[in-house]
Formats: sequence, C-alpha cells, structure tokens
Amino acid sequence: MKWRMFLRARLARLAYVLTAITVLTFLMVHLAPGDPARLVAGMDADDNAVEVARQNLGLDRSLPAQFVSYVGGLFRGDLGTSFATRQPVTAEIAQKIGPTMELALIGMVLILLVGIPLGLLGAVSTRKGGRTFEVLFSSGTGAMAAIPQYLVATFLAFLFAVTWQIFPVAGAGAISAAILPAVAIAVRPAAAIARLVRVRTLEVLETPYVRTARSKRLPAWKLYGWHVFPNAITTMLAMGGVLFASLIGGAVIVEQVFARPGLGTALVNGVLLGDYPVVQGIVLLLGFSVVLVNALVDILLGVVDPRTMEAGR
Amino acid sequence: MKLRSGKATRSTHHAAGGVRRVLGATAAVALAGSVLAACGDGGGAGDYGVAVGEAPPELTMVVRNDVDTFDPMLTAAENGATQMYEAIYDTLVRRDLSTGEYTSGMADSWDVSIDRIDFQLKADLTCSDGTPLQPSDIAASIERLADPDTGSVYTGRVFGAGGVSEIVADDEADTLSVEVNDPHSDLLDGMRSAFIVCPAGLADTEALATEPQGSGPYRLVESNRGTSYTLERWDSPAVEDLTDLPERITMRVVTADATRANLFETGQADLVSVVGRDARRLEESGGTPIRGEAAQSDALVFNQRPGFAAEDENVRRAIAHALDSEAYTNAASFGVGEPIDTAYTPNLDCYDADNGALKPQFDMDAARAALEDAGYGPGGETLRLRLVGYDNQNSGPDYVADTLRQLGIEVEVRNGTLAQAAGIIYGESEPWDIFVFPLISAAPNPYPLVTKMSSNLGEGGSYNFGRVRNDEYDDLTSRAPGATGDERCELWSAAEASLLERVDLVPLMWSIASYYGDGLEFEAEYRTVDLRSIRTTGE
Repeated sequence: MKWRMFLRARLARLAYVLTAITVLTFLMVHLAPGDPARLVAGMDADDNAVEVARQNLGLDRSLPAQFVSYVGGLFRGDLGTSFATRQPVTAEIAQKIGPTMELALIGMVLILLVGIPLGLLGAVSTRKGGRTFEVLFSSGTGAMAAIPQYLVATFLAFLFAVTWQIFPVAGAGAISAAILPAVAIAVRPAAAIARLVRVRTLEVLETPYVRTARSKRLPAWKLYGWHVFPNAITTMLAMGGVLFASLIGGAVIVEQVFARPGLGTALVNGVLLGDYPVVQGIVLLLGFSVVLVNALVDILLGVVDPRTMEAGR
Repeated sequence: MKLRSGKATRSTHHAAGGVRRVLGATAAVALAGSVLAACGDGGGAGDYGVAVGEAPPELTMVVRNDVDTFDPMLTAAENGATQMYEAIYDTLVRRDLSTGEYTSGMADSWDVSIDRIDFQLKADLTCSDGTPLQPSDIAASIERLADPDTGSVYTGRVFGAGGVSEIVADDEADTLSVEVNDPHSDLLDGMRSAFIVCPAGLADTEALATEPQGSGPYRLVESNRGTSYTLERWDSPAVEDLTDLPERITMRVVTADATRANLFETGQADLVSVVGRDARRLEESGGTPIRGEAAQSDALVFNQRPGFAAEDENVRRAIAHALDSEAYTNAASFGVGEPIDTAYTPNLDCYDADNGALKPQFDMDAARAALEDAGYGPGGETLRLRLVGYDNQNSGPDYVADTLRQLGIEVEVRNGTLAQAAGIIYGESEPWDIFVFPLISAAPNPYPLVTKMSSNLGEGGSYNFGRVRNDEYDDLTSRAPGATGDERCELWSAAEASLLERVDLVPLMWSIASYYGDGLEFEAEYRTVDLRSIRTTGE
C-alpha cells in the first residue's frame, strides 16, 4: 500500500514535469525572437523565397495550431522535421545520440573511478591528521569544481591534442577521440563527488557501528570495504540525478570544443539556425532523460532507505 | 584520410595578387583575392605523392558549417553548402578566379546580350549516376530555378528582378536559350550560380534535400550529416582536364574556428578557413593565409521609418562620424577583416575607391555637432537608440554602443543569434534603430544591394527593410541593370555615392576568410575554394 502510494505520487510528479517540459520547450523556441524562415531561405533571399520557406516549414499556421500538431506528432513518436536538413528529427537524434552517450558513459566511469577513491582517501588522510594532503585535497578539488568545463576542454585540447598530439583534435568514432572530452566533462563533477564522499565518510567513521567494528580490530580493508564504504555511498545515489544532468550539460558545451557530432553540437547549431524542431526534440529528450533518471533514483532510494519513501510521498 | 604527424612548421611563400580598382576582368582578378600562398609542413609536397604544381590526389578540407540541403536552389548559401555544390553540381559557365574571365562549364560557348543568352552545350553530358543529361533536362532545371514558387535565393540574382520570359532547348542541336523580361547586365555572371539538378532530382525534390542529383565532377560516396562527407571524382564529360581536380576529397564540418585551426596545425586537415582570432595564431606559427574576400562590405544600416530617430539625416551623420572603421574591424573580427569606407568592396565590379571620401569620416567633434543639429545633446533631449547585434560580430556591437554612449546617446543593445537579429530587422514586431548588416553576397556585382536599399522593388521583408527613401538611388539603380559598357559602372558608382552622401549606410568592414593550405596554393572566395585551382607547392 505504502509502495503503491509512493509510486503513484512519483508517476504523477513525472507526468507533470514532462508536460511542463513539453509546453515550456515549445513556447521557449517559438516565442524567442528570430525568423527561421529567413535563415532557411538565406539572408540574401527576397520576400517570395522567405514566404515559400515559411509555408514549407509550416510556420504560416497559428501558434496553437502548430502546438496541437506538435503534440499530436509526439504521441506518434514524430518529433517533426529539421528545418535545416529536412530530415526527421528522430533520425537526426538517432545519428547523434551515440557520440553523446559514449561521452556520458566514459565520463561517468571516470567520475566513479576518480571521485570516490579520492574522497575516501581524503577522509582517511584527514582522520589520520594528514594536514598537507587535506590542504591539497581541499584546494585542488575546490579549484577543479569551480573551473568551467569549456575552459578545461580548451586547456586539454591545447595540451594533449595540439601541443603533444597524443589525442585527436576533433571528431568521433575512435575511442581515443572520446578521451579528452570525457575528461573535460568529468573533472568538475568528480571533484564535487570527491568532496562529498570525503565529508560523508568522515561522518560514517564517527558512527557507533564503525566504532564497534573498529573495536573488533577488523582489518582496514574489511572495515572500509564492508562498513564505511556502503554507508557512505548511499549519499552518492541521491546525487545520481544531479550528476547525470551535469554530464549532459557539460557534453553540450564540450562537444563544441572538440567538434564532436553529438546532441550538444546539434543543439547549439539548432539554436543558431533557429531550427525549432531539432532544438525541441533534443531538449525534450535530454529533459526527459534527466527527469527519468531522477525518478529512478527516488525509487531506488525508497528501496534502500524506506524513510525517504515516507518523507517524499 | 591522409594524416601527417608532427607539428607543421610553415614557410611563407608566393606573391600576392593585387586588388585593383579597374573595371571588367581586372576587377574580377581581385574577386578571387588571388593571393597565392602556401603553408607547407616539414614533409613537403612529397606527402601528396605528386609532382609540384599538380593537384593533390587526396585532400582533407574543413568547412565552416554543414550543408543545409543538397537541393542547391533552396539553400541559404553558406560556406559548407556552396563548397559542396561546387563539387557535386555543375553550371553552364564558370568564372576563373585568377583571371576573372568566364570559362566553359556545361556550355562550350555562349552569346550574351542585355536580356538574352544563347548557349552551345557540350555534347553527351551525363549526370554523375550515368544517366544522359539533355538540353531539355537542363532547361527544366533552370525553369525550376526561375519559378518564384520554388523560393530560391538565387532566382533574382540569376535572372534579375523581372524574371524569365522564355527558356528554349534543342536536344538535337545541343543548344539552350534563356531570355529575361527586364534588361539584366549581370545575366552571364548569374548563370554561374545556376546549379543544374539532374532529372532524378527534379522528379523528387523532397528526396533531393538529402540525396544530391548532380552532374558535377564529384560523386558523394559517403555522408555523415554534420560531421564529414567523402567525394570521389568521376569521368565527367563536362570537365576538360580531370587531373585539375583531386581524386578524392574528405570534407569535414567543424563550426568552431579554434578547432579548425587546431586540425590544420596538427596536420589532420590539408585545407581550412579561419575567420576570427585563430588566424593570428596560425600566422604567428608561420602560416600565410590565402584571402577569401567577401563581396560587399559589412555596413551600419538604419531604420528610417517615420517616427524613428534615424529618419533624420543629421542623426545618421552623427552616428557615422562617431564610428571608426578600424576600431570596429578589430572588435568584430580581431583584425582579420579590413576597414573599408565603401559599400562595394575592391573585388566587386564597378568598385570606385573615390566614393570612400563621401562617407562621413571618424570625427567625434563633427559627430557632436551633427547630433546638436538634430536637436539632441546639451540643451536638447537625449537620443535613445536600439542596436541589434549577433554572436558572429564578436565585440563589434559593444564597440558601436560604447562609442555612441560617449556622445551622450543612450544605447540599448540586443545581442542574439543571426536568426534572432534577422527576425528583428526583417520583421515588423520589434522596434530597432541600427544594425551592422553583413551585406556579403555571392554575386561580384552591385545588384544585390538594390534589394536592401531601393524602394523600387517594394518594401517589407528583405526589400528595403530600413525604409530607405533615396530617389536618386532608386533612379540610378533602375537604369544600371540595363546599361552596358562604361555607362554601366558609372551608374552603379553614382548609385553607391548617393547612398553614402545621404548616409543611408555606413560601410565599416570588409570581411575576409583566411584560408590555409598545407603545401598547397589555390584560389578562394569568402565562401568557397575553387577545387580546380588546388596545386601542390612542394613547400
């Protein structure tokens, strides 16, 4: 019963957020100043050419009529046709989602592999009175968490692609082309995660059950691996949605720097060209995926810790 | 794709072709910005595996934006699309960018008058898919271009304001004639923008958007939209010497200037263009750019609708005096472009350097005086202006705003994308006062400016969006397209002078794209490289 109510509340919230994203995305791109017909026809085009483009794009219809048509298309899995390339938006997204997902996945692995061990190390070092490491950890992760991702990307490209030529400057396909952009989007969240894990681990180390475990003279690997880490890591789960959104947001910017043909590049180009259907489609997809990940995290948290189910219902 | 390792170290080379103000062919020499230069790496032309002076067998070039559509009549005609059309579509005539002369395309010869052009076509023309291309097929393609319902950006440019009266093809005699309604002295030049679409493309114009159907020297063998395209040369009967062209071209799409520069610097691209500050970086590392010059300048334009401040010539004059072309060029292009005082650029037919003296020169005292004459400034009311800018102009709009504020003018800046700026300028819903308009055109003649500045063609949309009322300009530009010989340029030059005298526009910058070739020399315009001109230098 408790579960049913919890899930119903979560699904209702999900439906509400998805509807809001759909409406806001549509309004956002249509109410922004600009004339896509003008750009599609060309800045040099005469009135007639612009008017023909407007009719071809369906922009001569009223805004409500366009919205009804758009929502109707969504229910049929039709996100419209790109103004710029005349291809279905679903085909555009299918072509470009691969490089972005690859980036997000490698970025996630890097965050987990670097952020969590670094945070644990920071906590252990602090507990053992390692003052120098603590200062280095705090200042280092603080700086990393504050630097914008496009700056990290530019720096990495200059150093590893242009100067030392270890990795490709741009493109996608080979795994080597994904390394630098993945590092660029992972640095900031990894630093934030490391700081979070450190604080949470220090808290867990002060709990009675850890003190009890320590009094049993358990080996360090068992103490940290079985008692400290699992308890500290639940905090990470709550961060999952935020982390995912951060990766996606980072990918949008970083893909531009590395000319990576992913959703981020397509989104920026769509905004510049006034290509409404592509912008709407990608924003919807990204928004939906972030909302879905958050909903999954909520449900997982409810499983792991039923108290959150009570509080969040 | 050919990759070379090692950081490129470049040597400088080659003399620059001049840019001179003369009529006819010499003016077209400048059109190409025919600076021959090359940027070779340590490996030299041996990397291409051919003798010096030959076309490289394979080439990786990077374009600044994606191909918007493979339908050459419905494009917005930016760099990526026009470069692609040069490869996969053909035209009846071409223009040699190094000499400015018209050369054979699909037509062997032609006879042109002020309102008619008769072509003798090459025999046995075929499309790149192997299907025969008859004169009547070419006529059908031109008819589609001429049809106002097609909505092509090229229609007015190719056929003039009056449109086409008759197209006649004779499949037996391999001839084709095009007659226009109004005299149009740039008819021959217009025909080099009339890309011919093969019958399969005309039969399904919807599919044409994604599947090219041309007869140009290249076939598209691989396409990754937004990323890269692979083109392979085929034995087109329209090409006189196939060895003029690389056998295979990989065309990568990279929108970021810095990334294009990085690709070139690391040897991952043979030919790139840069339009911003990264050109300086490449020059500092030894590269010598080949200039891709825009036709027509970037100029400040005004909203002269009744009730708007810029309706008053004194206001326009004050603003013009306040702006320094050189400072604007540095702010807008990091100095890659060139400051200019004329609307027609030196590579344009009928360019007249003397007209530059008619533009109000940078003089803040004169600006204050003109502003006071208009009733603003000390003792008068405060002038408020709405300036529209867009992202590609870098700090240009900020420079304009800051300078005008020094005169006590309140300036509201609306920066956005080009799409947003165009929406404001061409629309009626949002008020605006001034905008630095990129008047860049693909046509090397003054005609395209008429659609923006004359009220002869109508108003609204792209026709006279600033509601300019210049009777002298209207009169001169109604006569210039029908004039020939010396009279033609006299009329066009006088028309430009009338715009500058009335301060209907304020030329500020000549846009330049800096092209870099790795051990290559070639001819380039602002938006395209002539693929037939690419040669190895051995450096």
